[in-house]
Amino acid sequence: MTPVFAVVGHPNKGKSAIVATLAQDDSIAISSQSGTTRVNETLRVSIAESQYTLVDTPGFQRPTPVLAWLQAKAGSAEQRADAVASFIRDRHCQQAYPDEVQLLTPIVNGAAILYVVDGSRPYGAEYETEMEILRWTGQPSMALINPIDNDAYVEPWTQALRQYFKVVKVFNPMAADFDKRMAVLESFAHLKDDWTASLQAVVAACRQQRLAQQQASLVLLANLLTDLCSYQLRQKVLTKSQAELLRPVLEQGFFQAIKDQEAKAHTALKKLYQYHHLESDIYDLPFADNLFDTKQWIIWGLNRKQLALAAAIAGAAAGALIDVGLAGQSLLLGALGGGLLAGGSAWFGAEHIADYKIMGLPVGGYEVRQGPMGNRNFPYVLLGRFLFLAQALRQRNHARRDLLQIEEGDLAAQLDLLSTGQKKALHAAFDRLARHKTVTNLELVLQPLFTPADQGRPP
Amino acid sequence: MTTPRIQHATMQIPLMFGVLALLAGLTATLVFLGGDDQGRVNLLYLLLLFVFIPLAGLLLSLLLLVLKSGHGLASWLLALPCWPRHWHPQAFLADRLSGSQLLRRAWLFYVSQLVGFCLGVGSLLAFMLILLGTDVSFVWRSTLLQAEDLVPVLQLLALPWRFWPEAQPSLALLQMSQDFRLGAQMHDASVLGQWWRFALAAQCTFNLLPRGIMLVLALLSYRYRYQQSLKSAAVSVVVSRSGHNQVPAPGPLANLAQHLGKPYLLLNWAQAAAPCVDYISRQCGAAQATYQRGEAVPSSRHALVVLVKGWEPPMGELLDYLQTLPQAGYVLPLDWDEQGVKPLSSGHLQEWRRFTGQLGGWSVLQPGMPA
Repeated sequence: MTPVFAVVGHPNKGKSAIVATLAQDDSIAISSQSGTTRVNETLRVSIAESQYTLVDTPGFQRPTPVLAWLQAKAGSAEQRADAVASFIRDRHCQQAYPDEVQLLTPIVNGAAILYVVDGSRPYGAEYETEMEILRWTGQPSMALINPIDNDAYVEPWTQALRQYFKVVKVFNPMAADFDKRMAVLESFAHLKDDWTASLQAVVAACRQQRLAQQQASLVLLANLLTDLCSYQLRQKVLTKSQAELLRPVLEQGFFQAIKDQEAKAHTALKKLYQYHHLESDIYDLPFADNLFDTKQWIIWGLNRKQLALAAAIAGAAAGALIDVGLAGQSLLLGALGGGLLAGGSAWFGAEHIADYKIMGLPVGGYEVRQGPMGNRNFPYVLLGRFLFLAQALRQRNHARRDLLQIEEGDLAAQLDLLSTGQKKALHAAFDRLARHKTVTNLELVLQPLFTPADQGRPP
Repeated sequence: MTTPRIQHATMQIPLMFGVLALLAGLTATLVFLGGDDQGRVNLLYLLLLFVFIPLAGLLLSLLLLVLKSGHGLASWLLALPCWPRHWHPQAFLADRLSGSQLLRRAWLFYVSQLVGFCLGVGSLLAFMLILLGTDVSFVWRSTLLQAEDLVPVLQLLALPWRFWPEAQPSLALLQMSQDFRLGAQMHDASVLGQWWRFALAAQCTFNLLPRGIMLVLALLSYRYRYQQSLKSAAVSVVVSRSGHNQVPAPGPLANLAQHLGKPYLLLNWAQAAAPCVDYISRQCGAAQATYQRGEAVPSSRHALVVLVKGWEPPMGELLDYLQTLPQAGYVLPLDWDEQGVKPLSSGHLQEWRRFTGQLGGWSVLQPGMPA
């Protein structure tokens, strides 16, 4: 049996936002203009094998005459549910009270009631008419207090709502994180015994989905890093002068292709988290104005000092292998030399981006090559931008319709949260990527950065 | 999402295992087909190598697949301690293959089939090399079996290639190829060599063909599972919708009045407390009369001011009521709390102006507030 919930209440109290958040659907129309929801919108949410249904309804518009109509129909308590059923079937009522007919229809058909109010505004006695109508339906119900602007009136609302609803919860759909969403879904399970197992399965599937999203975002990032760090644009020409003429075209094509691929990966990441209509303000990779302005890269990646240090760590790890090979007889000169060499090259090569090469072909003519990217900071820049986008997506929910703001994060601070071993592995992997070599265990190396806060890492 | 690329390690391992299996098949067959010092190869052992062992391996592989044990040639090979650390089955299979049991099994089955197929290809290559480079005499020896016993078995095995008469076994050929180590016999080398066709057909039919089919199926299954695992991560929430709402186009806005400047009747639709009414009196002067919600407001030459809760959205009930009034007036949305009246937010004011705009001649009153 599929659990069905009708989200009802006064207009403009966040009903659609609650539906959007719980269904993870960012296409539901949400606006501050009241009356946006004019017809019932039924969302059948399927996660793995489990499912439930949410019905977004228009707000109450004429509760007072509706209650009067019902009271005229039902003389005693056992007639009340039938009176509501007659109300939605009555032709005159359908014309005079279209909003109430819409919102009561799924309830009469067996949906549980989720009644939404605004906890940032004072309680008003006029709400009692709505609650009374809902009580007449006899369906299981729960109240959600949505503290739209603040929680100043949550307490008086709670007191009032408890007289009408068995379960009263505070839930802000705009700010609810994953755990809060799960907590609300779990509380739905208490409304009707028949639905408990289904809703518990939904919650379990949501948690599984969260882990799967994390794993899939790792795959996306690993592919992005591998593809872009080794990306090269080639073109065959007849003469050297043609090759020189082609240089700006090839450079532009190279950087554009990198930007496009990164944008594709970011879009894929958003889709992974079920955002299909989300715009973000993350700007293009900083090539547009000055292709060689690597100074801008420190916004997302590492600064020169951090980069040199990272390279030194990777170089030292590689040099240490020589020391091990010589059974320590090199007096750790391998590690020391490797570290100094790599750190030095990172320091002095911090401005370097990508080479343009003209190669003679054995059969005649030339091949010009732009790339691959030769800057050690490049994989860190890609990582930073992807990581901060992923973190912003994890913290966002589907009720919000504003632009996704990506804060310029501090990648070095994020890396500092890793253990020494994890940091070494990451720097070594990125060192290989910067040298256009394959890293077979890239996802494993990146995994600690994606471990969510609830598993022991800060967001 | 771009088409997911199969990860490096999941390709590296099959490649490495495939090459190793090819070399192993090649070496084993070269050694075996070297035969004795006279270049004689025991036909029965050859059948064991080309037919019975591959068939048994194939059946075992299918059995393990049916049992869903996840074991197989690949997992046993991966468990050997000689591979790089990140190839270790626990680390590799748990993390690299997204923790999906089905995907893990599909991948292991695919690698197992690849290893089996490469063994067969290596073996076939070695066989062809030996046939090209040396004269092989196929003989058979047995203490218990006679040629008459073997013929039906071999003919049964040769059924799949009946269209190739040169590769069919015969009693005469079998009798001519029987060998006894103690007795000095004279064999016709060209006759003994005739078995190569039978051996080749057996190798192709019972080893390469079924393994090849299994390999293709295993690869398709693995790719399908791989795509499924990514899809399940990417679109695991499926929302099917019926009914669709759009943000309505904003209608005309009602005029905004800051001053009243004439006597008025006040309808307290909001059921606001005295401080709010006092505030209106201070801003607009005292009302000629004040009515509560539900009370009948008589027709009057004075303007009608309807006090509403500014933070609440306008509702149909109010609209219905205002439309019944004979004359236009003012809607006064106010915002207040325990501290008193406070400025109405621009969003709420817009909402009330939109609502009042539907009513001909009505204005929104905001006394004492900047325009």
